[in-house]
Formats: sequence, structure tokens, C-alpha cells
Amino acid sequence: MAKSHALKTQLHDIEFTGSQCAKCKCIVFPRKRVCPRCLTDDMKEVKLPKEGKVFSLATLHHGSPDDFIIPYTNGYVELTNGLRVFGLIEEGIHGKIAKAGTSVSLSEIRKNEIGQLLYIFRPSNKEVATE
Amino acid sequence: MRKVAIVGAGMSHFGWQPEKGIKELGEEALFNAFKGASVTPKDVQIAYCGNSTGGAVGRQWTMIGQICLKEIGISGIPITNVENACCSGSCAIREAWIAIGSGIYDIAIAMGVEKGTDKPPEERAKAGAGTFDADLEGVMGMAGIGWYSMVAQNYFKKYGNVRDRLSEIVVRSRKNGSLNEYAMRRDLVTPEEVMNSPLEAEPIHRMDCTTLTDGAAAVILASEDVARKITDTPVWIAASALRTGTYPPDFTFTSFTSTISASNEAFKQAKMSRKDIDFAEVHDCFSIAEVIRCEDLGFFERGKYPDAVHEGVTDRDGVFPVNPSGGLLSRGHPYGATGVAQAAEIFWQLRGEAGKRQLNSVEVGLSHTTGGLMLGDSSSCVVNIFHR
Repeated sequence: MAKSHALKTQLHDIEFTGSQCAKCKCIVFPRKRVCPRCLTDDMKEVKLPKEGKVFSLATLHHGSPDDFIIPYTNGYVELTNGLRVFGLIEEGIHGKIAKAGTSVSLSEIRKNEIGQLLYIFRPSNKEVATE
Repeated sequence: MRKVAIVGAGMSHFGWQPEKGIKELGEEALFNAFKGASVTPKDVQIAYCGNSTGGAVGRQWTMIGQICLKEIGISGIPITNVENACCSGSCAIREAWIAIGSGIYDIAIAMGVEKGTDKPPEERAKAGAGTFDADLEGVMGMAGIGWYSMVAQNYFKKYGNVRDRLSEIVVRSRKNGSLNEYAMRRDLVTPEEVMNSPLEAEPIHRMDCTTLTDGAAAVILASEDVARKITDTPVWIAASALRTGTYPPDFTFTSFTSTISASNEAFKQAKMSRKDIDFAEVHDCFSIAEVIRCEDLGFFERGKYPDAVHEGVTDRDGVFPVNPSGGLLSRGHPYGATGVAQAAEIFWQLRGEAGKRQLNSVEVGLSHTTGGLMLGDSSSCVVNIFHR
């Protein structure tokens, strides 16, 4: 499970950020110029927590796009501020495997050849291996 | 809004057809729709064509409606191509229904066509990223199989492990599909064969999945005045509702907002209740999808659909037949054509023309088609209700 991805450049200089609306205070990801709730354009960049828990994940064994190594795992992570973000979920240290409810941390942000960002979460170091 | 009827329906075969291009598929469905319809292509005043993946996996990626309709001599009229992912065909029907219902036109075509196998599977898989938010989900390998894996896991967690019941859905689907001459998969399967098919993403096995394929379907719509003149057996459109997902931040994966809101709107339009529906063609792109669709549509209590399948409620001779055509699981899923094929099946069932898979005494049928997935919700859903 979860080696997932090749051919990508790991980024060291990108912060994990979203935007917060100055008017309604909602936080959105990724960064946006205009608030989708109240249409104000007074949006402030805010750092997002890198810790969260897996809300739901899937490990795909077949039929993946050609730059993924199967099987790979992805899913939605609920950050500690309640925001859910989609990411790849890879093995933690010593082969720790995540499942729904597992505490995870954002460990890498990668950029592909056309500039799209990929968010890689892994089980937090404190998490006990689940299987 | 004027009353609108379907007065003709036709399909091509669904399935891998390397010898046919998109216009040959479209032509076949259109030709079949005009058979015995008492109208000719020259009578058609406006047309809508659903297609979804032409730009991603097909050779023909613009003018798809124009190029297909020209094959049977329809040109010069307004033709609009409609793209709403897997519910593009149902949206084409809705547009034609509005065009006639508004009083501007009297006879319309709604068709859907997909040439889903022009490119190899790996390119199709890559193109699949665009059926989600391509920059937020597709880029990280989101796929329909992964999505419905999460749906199934969350459903099991909430209502119990119904893996055996999912296999029963596939078995029933194939049984119905075996009687459908247009269906891609007509062989019967056992629950054991479903479980022995390759694991795609726990708990989804290969036989739990539909597949993108080649096919076309078309229906002819007419105003009440025209319909009553040309046929004794019009099939009336009682409602056509399209809704978009609302992407709730606390999504559950066991229910999708667009199906709930589209069905509520459709029943309001039709002035009907769930009890008035005799049978349904629902968007069973995966076996677990049929479960949550039928519960979101309000036909079954939450968590109860799998047992209803086990008890035979959804069989062709059951209290509430679901997907008598074989559904997407057996018929195959040429995205743009699926919604129109559902309408064609209901048209035939309501007119007593469904051959070996004919249901007994049906008066009202409902079609449900969804298109696109993102941010924990289904992005589009059409619910159409038809009656004799």
C-alpha cells in the first residue's frame, strides 16, 4: 500500500495555506481571491494546520492514471480546524499504514510537470501502527 | 408549461464497437428512434445532444450532435450540444422538454452518444481526473472506484457490512441485462463470481463496476397537440428536474445532496409521491451506488435498501423493480447516452414494448442520472418522471 507516486518534484518552499474571509471569517482551501460565501474580495492568506485525521480513504489496485504506482491510497483528511482536504496518503515511518480515523500529518507538497500541487499525508509519528 | 410527450425511442448496441465511429453510433440510435414514430427527420425543429468525454478520449470532440444528426438528414435547425458529465443525456432531454414546454417548438430530438473507447485504457484513466475537481482531486489519482470505495466503507460503518447484498445487486442486474438486446454484459453471474472478480478498491470488485463504453440513444419529443395526432400511446414527461450539488463541508459519503434535491423538485413538478412510481432506472455506476441512490430518492429508508434487494423487492416481478434494463452495471455506460437509454427503457416499458423484460402493469417510471463528483458530493443530478 501507499508508495503511490513517482516523477514528481518535492517542494520545500511552499507553505500549506488557505484563505480566510475578513468579513464572514470562513476559511477555504486552496487560496481564493473571492469569498464563495459572501463575495467579498478581502481574503487573507492563513496557514493551515498540518495535522488531522483521515476522514475516509481508498486504496486503488487497478486502472490508475499512468503516473501512479498501484496500489496507491488517497482520501480526505479532516484537519484539526475541521477543514477537509484531499490528498495522497502514504506509509509513515516503519511502514505505518493509515485507515479511517488515523492521525496523519502533511509530510510533503509536490509539484507535477504542469504545476499542479500534490499533498502527501502520512500517519503521524505518534500514531501506533494499525496493521 | 405545455405537456410534452416522448413519441419515439431508439438505441444503438452498447459496448466496445471499434468498427463504429461516433456518427455511426448516433445514426443507429436515431434511425431506430424514427422507426414507427409517425414523424420524420424533416419534422424535427430543434435537437440537443449529450456527450461527455469527446474532448478527453474521443476523436470527435466538437459538433457531435451536428455530425450525428446530419447522418439522418437533420440539419439547418438549432442543434445544441450538452455536457454535464454522466447525466449529459438526461440534461439533453430536459432541454428539449423545456423547448417544447415553452411553446416555441413542437417536435424535438434529445440524444446522447459516447465513443468511449477511442483511446487506450491508460489514457482514459488519466482523462478520468477531469470528472472530479481536476486540480484538487483528479491530480492526486481520484477515480470513481476510489470514490465508491469510500462510499461503501462509510455505508458499511453506518448501516453494517452489506457486501453480500452488493453481489446480489450485480446478480439481479445481469439477470435483467441478459434480456436486453442492447446491453453490453448479457451473461449471468453468481455472487461467488462477483467476489472472485479482481479487487479494485476494498470492498469494490470489478463486477461491482460499470464501464465507459460506446453507444448512443435517442428519443423524439412532441407537444401535446402533435403527440395526440400521431400516436395513441404517448409517454408523458411529468417532471424533469436538474440540481447541482451543494458540497457540504461535513459530507457523509452515504448521501448526495443533488439526488435529494432533484427528486424533491421532480415530485413537486409531477404532483406525485414516491408511492406513485411503479419502477425506476437509477444510476448504478457501482453496486453501492444503486443503494445510496434508491435511499436518497426516498424510495427506501436509510440502511434498508440492501435487504430489500435480498427480499426480491427490486426484481422485475417484485414490488418495486429497479433497473429492469440491467442498468449501467449490465448495459454499460457511454456517459452521454446513459440518461437517454434510461428514458428509452421507460418508454418501452410503459408502452408494453420491452419484450422479454417487460414489467407487469406499469403506469409511471422514474429515471435518475448523476454526473460528476467532487468535494464529497455529486455535482449534477437529473430526475425525470414519465407516465402513460
